[in-house]
Amino acid sequence: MFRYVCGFLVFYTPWIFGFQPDIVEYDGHLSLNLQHSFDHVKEPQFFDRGTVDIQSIRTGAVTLKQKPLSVEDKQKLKALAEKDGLYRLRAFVQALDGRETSFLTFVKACSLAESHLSDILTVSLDHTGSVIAVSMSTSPAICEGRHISHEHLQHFNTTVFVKHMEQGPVPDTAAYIQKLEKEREARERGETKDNRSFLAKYWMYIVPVVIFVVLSGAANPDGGAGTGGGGAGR
Amino acid sequence: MKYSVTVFVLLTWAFRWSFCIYEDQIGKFDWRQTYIGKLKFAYLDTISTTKKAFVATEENVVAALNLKTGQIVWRHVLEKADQGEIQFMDGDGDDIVTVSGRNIFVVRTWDPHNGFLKSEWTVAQPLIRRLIDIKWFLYQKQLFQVVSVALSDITITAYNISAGTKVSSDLIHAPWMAQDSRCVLAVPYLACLDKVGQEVLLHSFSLTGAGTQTKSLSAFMGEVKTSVTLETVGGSQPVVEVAMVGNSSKHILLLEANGFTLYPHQLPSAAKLYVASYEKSSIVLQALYMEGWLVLSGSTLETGKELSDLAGKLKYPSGLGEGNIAAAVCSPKKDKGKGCRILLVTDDHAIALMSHPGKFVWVREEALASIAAVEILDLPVSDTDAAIEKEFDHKETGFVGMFVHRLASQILQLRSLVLTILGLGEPPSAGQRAGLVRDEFGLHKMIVVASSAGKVFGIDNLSGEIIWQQRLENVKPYVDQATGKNHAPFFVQRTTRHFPSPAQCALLLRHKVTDEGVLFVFNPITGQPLAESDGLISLGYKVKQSFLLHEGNKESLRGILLLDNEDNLHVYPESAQSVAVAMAATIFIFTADPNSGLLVGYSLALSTKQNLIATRVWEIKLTHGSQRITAVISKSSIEKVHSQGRVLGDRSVLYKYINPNLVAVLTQGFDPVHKQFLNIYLIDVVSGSVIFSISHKRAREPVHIVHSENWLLYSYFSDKSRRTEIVTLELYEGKVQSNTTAFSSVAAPLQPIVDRQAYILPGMIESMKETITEKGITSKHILVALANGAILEIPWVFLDPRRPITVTSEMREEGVIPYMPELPIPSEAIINYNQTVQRVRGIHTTPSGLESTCLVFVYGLDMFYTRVAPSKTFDLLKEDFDHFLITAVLLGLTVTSYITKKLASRKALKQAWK
Repeated sequence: MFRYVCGFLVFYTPWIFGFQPDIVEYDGHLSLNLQHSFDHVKEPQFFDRGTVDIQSIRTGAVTLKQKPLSVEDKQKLKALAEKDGLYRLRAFVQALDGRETSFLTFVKACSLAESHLSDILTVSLDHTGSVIAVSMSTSPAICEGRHISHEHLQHFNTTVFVKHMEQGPVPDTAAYIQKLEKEREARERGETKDNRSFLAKYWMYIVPVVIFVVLSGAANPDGGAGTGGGGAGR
Repeated sequence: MKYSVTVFVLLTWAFRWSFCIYEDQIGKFDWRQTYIGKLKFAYLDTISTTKKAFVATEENVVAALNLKTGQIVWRHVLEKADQGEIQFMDGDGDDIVTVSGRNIFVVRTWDPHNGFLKSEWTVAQPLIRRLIDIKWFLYQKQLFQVVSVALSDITITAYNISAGTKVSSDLIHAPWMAQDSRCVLAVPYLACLDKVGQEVLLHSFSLTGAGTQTKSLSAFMGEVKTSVTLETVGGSQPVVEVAMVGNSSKHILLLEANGFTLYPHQLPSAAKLYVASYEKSSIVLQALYMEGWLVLSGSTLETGKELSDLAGKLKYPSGLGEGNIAAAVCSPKKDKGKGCRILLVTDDHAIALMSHPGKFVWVREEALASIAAVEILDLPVSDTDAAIEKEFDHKETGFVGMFVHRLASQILQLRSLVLTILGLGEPPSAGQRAGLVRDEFGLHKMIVVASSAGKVFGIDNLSGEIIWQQRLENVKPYVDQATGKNHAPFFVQRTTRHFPSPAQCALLLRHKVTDEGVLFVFNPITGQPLAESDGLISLGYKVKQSFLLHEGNKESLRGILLLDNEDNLHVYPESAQSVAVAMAATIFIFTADPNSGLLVGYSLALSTKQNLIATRVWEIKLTHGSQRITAVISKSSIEKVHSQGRVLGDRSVLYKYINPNLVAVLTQGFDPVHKQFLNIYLIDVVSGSVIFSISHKRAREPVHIVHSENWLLYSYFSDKSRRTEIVTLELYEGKVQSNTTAFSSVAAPLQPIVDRQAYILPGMIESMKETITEKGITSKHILVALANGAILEIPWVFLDPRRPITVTSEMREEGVIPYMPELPIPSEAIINYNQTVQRVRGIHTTPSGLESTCLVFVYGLDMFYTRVAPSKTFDLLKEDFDHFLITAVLLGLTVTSYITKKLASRKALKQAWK
């Protein structure tokens, strides 16, 4: 029995990624076949976990189809978590030209169990929109050795992020020239607003005064400890 | 305008206060050594007053060497790579002629005395199918081009060397010439071998008279069953050597207009030959290597009579590989008899001049022009310090034992002091005598370099002198599949801090034939091999990935972990296995395949006590189509980040994203939409997640990347604007730090904030590197090697991605300077002032004992060493510090205070009496 777990709409949040890529020149549909393994051996066996359909890689609209964990799998996961083993996930991605690429990722089994199967899948794309990496993490990513009951290990609560490649910056000569132009115009109009700080503006007056004060303070023999304060008061 | 004035003032001020040296400091902290590379062509000039050897090398260098000292008289570095590949060089007294290039040949003539370019002209390579090769030679002031076309003909064209005009052109019909025909030039003849059944025919063409002679070699060679080789014997006469493969001897033929004459004796096939002219006759010089000895002999070419005064035998230095005679000249000696000077070029790229028979006059270690790996290491402590160290060696004993040790060692010190005063002390060890001991500021170090030529050198960093050298046989470095650069992983297994165990380093190379890994284990201070007899350990498998463990075993020796092609793990030495197993749960390895773009991560968590097991835990595929991974850059493993954050104008802290597992991967490719593009991925190689990725269109090589602390800097050539651009990326966690103790890649899937900015650098970049200091307190500067031979030091402040276009007062508070698209190249920031460094391949930086100072070693065709102080030498007194004045002032003050005290008390006494 399949069950729709959730569909997420992911935006590029500026406070996370700096800025959104100017133009995403591509769009399309992506389908990920997920297989996972609870084995603690070198060559593990993978079993079907479900599919992730990204309807639009530009908007990040996602449909998930994932089987709930069987009792056997739950036991395996708990056993793996006790051994501090790694839960491995294989994702098969069908590219637009029909070629299938496989990606492998992992999380610590204990953090998957302790987050109650709340995992995050990040699908990274390159500049043409092809998938370059699928990586998995859990939220929260903690391993404290808490006891997890079986009912918490029922359904995967998966979040999918689509991560685009960003456009590299170029030297901003135009803005710089504009700034110079503006400054020149302002000067021609004779109204350069001096918005420097007080110290930056008047340091040439302050420094001699300070030097004078310090020198006179040092020259005064009976000054002692009080000279500094006296000088400043004057 | 006011802004730009401020900026200008700021710029000049910022540059002036940190770099540039005074005139009298030239050569005080720095040295430069110039090289030419592996010799390809040589010509000896003995007519002029200062005798010179003219050479052309595989590094595309034309140079004149002083024949007495081996020093470079003049040197010209031609174009890079194929464009400047030297095809031919020869001289005729008045001119040195070179032909260079691949598709268009550039012919240049040079003045032999001063190296001035006299003329330059080009010849286009003829577009002919079945072209075998093009040969060049110089004969009677004319340059000849010999174009051989398979199954057709040979064209010989003569050019006037100064004007480049065609003088004549001849066509020789040669329909029998196959694609694989062996033809050699023996000026002025062209000789080709043709095997018909069991009979070998030698065709010889006179290139000037255009007569062809065909003669059978069966008369002296008999029935030929194996293949036959034909080689030219260099020198003044048209002589070739013919040998049957597998035969121990060879024949020598002198080509003549009507065929050839056979030299009366057969010579051993291993002998290196050269024909030198002496007065009116010609001498065949012969050099033969026999178990560490070089046996030299000479005989007249015409009669084969052995010349007794040219027979000799000399002990061959073990550091030199076997050599060939590149050029030789014989002249009568002052007393009597004859003497020859022989220019040898060895397998390990060295150039040596021998005076025959007798000794080596000079040796140039040209292996240093092709450095593949560099490490700078601390020197061991002095003997006295070592004695003190011994005291703390006994860890088990209690405080009573420690006290006894302390007394004993102090008595020993006293004894040695007395003995030294009396002049009876035992002699210091070799290292001490040579002054190779650690100094108090840690500025004296040992530079260990491994050359692509299979040689390892130890160089004193203060003098630039070669302290030791080791020649490794049958090994070669690894070649970067994407860029074709040589590299050899270098591991410092134990530093000199662990007295009394010697320092130990290992170099990973591969076998010349089988490609299997070979480790060279040695002491970096003395160069002595530390394993087997020659230090070479054959691993017996191909190495895919290698790295050093973080912790050492009981002897403080850090093990090397090697991953072979079948994903099996090996540890060297065996004793480090237990350490590796103990750490296995936290060890992750990754490999990158440049062609398929596949990155694979392995975990060692499944390892058992007996063996280490690498399990694949992540796989990502970065490229598809024509794209390739061209660089994988990780951070320096010894780097320390002192400051965890950056204080902003509002007094809040912006925490740095410092992930030690972050690796920058560069891929390059071409597609019709984006043209030449490059992508940069920041990948956490423990979790296998792509942290950040960025793409540039119409950007191409040279791409150089520097990755350090929380930032990445890369440069590329922008095809669109036709200029070099530098992009900097800085990664921040934000205003809160996720984990204050240690960073975890598995537990922290956080997304850093990435600041970015692009700059223009008005110059071409050859190499880049960041400075590094002991504790990471000193600010970082970027060292940029420019194509014009200058090394530019740019402070990070100038490359800061937070430089804003419009400055707010908050930004000013933070100390960021306003954005300017173009980075200046002030001449004060050129750390090698006028010491031009050509063809820089890499820059190695290393911390010194002083926090302020970073040691810099630049290598390429030349070597340059200096030290830089990015935040000025804040922990050192200036060397012009007036010790005398300060002592005088102090003394004066003390004396005055005493006197005034006396006077004051006297005055007080007088007042009291009043």
